[in-house]
Amino acid sequence: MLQENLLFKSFIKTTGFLFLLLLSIYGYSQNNFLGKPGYMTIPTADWKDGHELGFSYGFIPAAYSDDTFSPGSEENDVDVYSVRVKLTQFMEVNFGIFYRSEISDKIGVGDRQLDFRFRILKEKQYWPAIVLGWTPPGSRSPVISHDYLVATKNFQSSLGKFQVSLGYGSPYFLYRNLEDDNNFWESLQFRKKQSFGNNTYLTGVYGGVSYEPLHFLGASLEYNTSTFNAGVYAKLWNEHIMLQAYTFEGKELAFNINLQFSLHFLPRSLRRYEKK
Amino acid sequence: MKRNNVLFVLFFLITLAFSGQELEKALYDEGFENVLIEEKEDTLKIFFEFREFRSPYHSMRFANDIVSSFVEGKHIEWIPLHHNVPIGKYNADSYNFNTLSSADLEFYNANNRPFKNYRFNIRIRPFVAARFGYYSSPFQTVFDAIVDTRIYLAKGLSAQTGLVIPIQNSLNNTSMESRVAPSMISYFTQFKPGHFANISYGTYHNDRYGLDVQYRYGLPSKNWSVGIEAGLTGFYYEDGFRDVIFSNMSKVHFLADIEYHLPIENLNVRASVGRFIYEDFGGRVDLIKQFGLVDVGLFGTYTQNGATAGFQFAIPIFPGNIFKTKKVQLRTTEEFRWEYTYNNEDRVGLKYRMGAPRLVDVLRQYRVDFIQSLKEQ
Repeated sequence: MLQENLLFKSFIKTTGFLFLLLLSIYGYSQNNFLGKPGYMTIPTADWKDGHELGFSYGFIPAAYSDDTFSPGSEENDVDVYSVRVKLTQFMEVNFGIFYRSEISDKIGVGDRQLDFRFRILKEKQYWPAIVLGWTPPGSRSPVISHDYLVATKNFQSSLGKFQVSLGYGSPYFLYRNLEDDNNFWESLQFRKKQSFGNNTYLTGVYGGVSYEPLHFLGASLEYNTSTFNAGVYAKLWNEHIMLQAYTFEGKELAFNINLQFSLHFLPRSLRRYEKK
Repeated sequence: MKRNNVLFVLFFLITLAFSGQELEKALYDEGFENVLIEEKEDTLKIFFEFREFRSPYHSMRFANDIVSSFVEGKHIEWIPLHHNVPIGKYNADSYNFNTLSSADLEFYNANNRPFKNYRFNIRIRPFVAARFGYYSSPFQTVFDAIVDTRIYLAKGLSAQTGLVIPIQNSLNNTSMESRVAPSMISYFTQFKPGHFANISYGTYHNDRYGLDVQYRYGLPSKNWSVGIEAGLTGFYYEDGFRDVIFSNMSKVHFLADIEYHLPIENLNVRASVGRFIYEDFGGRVDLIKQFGLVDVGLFGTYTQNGATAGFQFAIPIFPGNIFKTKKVQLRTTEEFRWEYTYNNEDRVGLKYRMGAPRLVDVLRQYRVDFIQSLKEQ
């Protein structure tokens, strides 16, 4: 069973990776573990125009899988698979699966997370970009839900590009009473995030900075209200792929790989004909 | 002199006929079917069906590319067909829409050749069903390859059948033997401008068979449309080719919906209410974004059986055309649609998959607003 599981896991990882490679058409800048514009674990207000679809894989080491996202009863490595779609110029949706292969016989495929980003303000010369993030209520296991408001500003200098982000994550979330499936709306109630396990991720003021000395290479530092993290990232193949490695508090290593491309493309026969 | 004039006119007519045939052939060679050219003074009205693409925008753009080397100084109107039925006239430059005149329909009815003007179209498509629930086996999936075809029998009347080749199944007890794919007789019609109906009788996915009726009103030039989906169905089970069991056709479902195409960003909002296939009353709200080749949608459902939410997407499967000859085309499907719902165990607001795109999903592609926005990109 374990062997089968491991085989399955490596199969998923390999096919996932190959899929990402295959789909590489256009890529863009930095994304966090959930495949959303962000640093390592925090979301920022960066907005990707023209790259509507993104796939990502993120690895979270066991030691930090509790602190950061999910205070489950056991600590296990987490594989985060996610897909992001920019539905409009002001709304983006993200869906992620938090798969814990070592305990999948106890928790199944793991927690699933659906959340939205709304662009409230475009970045201007003196104004930062502002984004509101929202997780709809209804999850049976809302450990990864996060609701936040974040501002991001870019600065171009002769030394490279700097980016600063500052946000506030809601310490409360909407809890759905599991026993009361038929009274979905009535069963919703506000609860402190910390009361669901000991979840302190994105509860309060968070922020980070990133620095890109070269157009394909950058480093970032962040505080996610639970841990301080630092990492480096590279944008490969004309920015088709983003690879990022980082540490949680300088103690454990994590990484994510991300890919984005445009959904505005033509059918193959038409493309070929127009090329002729 | 008079004789010369007659000769000149004759020569001119022959040239015209020749170029018309050449154009028909050029379009047919690229995969267009049932190409019929109606010539009126300085206007060419060109009927065609193009099954390889989901969106008529792409097929009209393709046709524009081809026609540019044949026709000069003529005004062109494209009349795309769906299941052998003309939808309406689109101006080749502006993509403005016009309904068909009775003369257009007469011309079409007189020249439509359901057998002769079509290729034997073989379509390959995947069938995927998945459940993420169970602990012992977190990803339970069914993955089948389906090879099927649709043959036009008369105007709007078609038959679809094919073969299911199971590749993987860890989800249910359906046998791994090959079996007959969803097979149905369908009749599609536009009985008045903007009034579309599709009636099918046959087997569908999700073990359903029976009568399926869809009606939709909405001109492609308008942003509103309303529709009804209803059916009288039962369950069936196939074990290879030998063993097929049908239950009584006793389940009734009916849904009424209204859809609005927002004037920005190609977003559509659709609200449906009624009785779903597990006979639960309730409603569903969809938000659907059309990117062109790809649709992505979010939805929420609330019925007697509970509440759920999820997403769906529709994509063409690469590469499209695999090969085509004069009589046969082998291609991958123009539309693969998949839906994820959060509580996929409960039977909340479910529908069966038909094995062919639903009327609402087909007609959404014909909206002028959407087509014109693609042109601008």
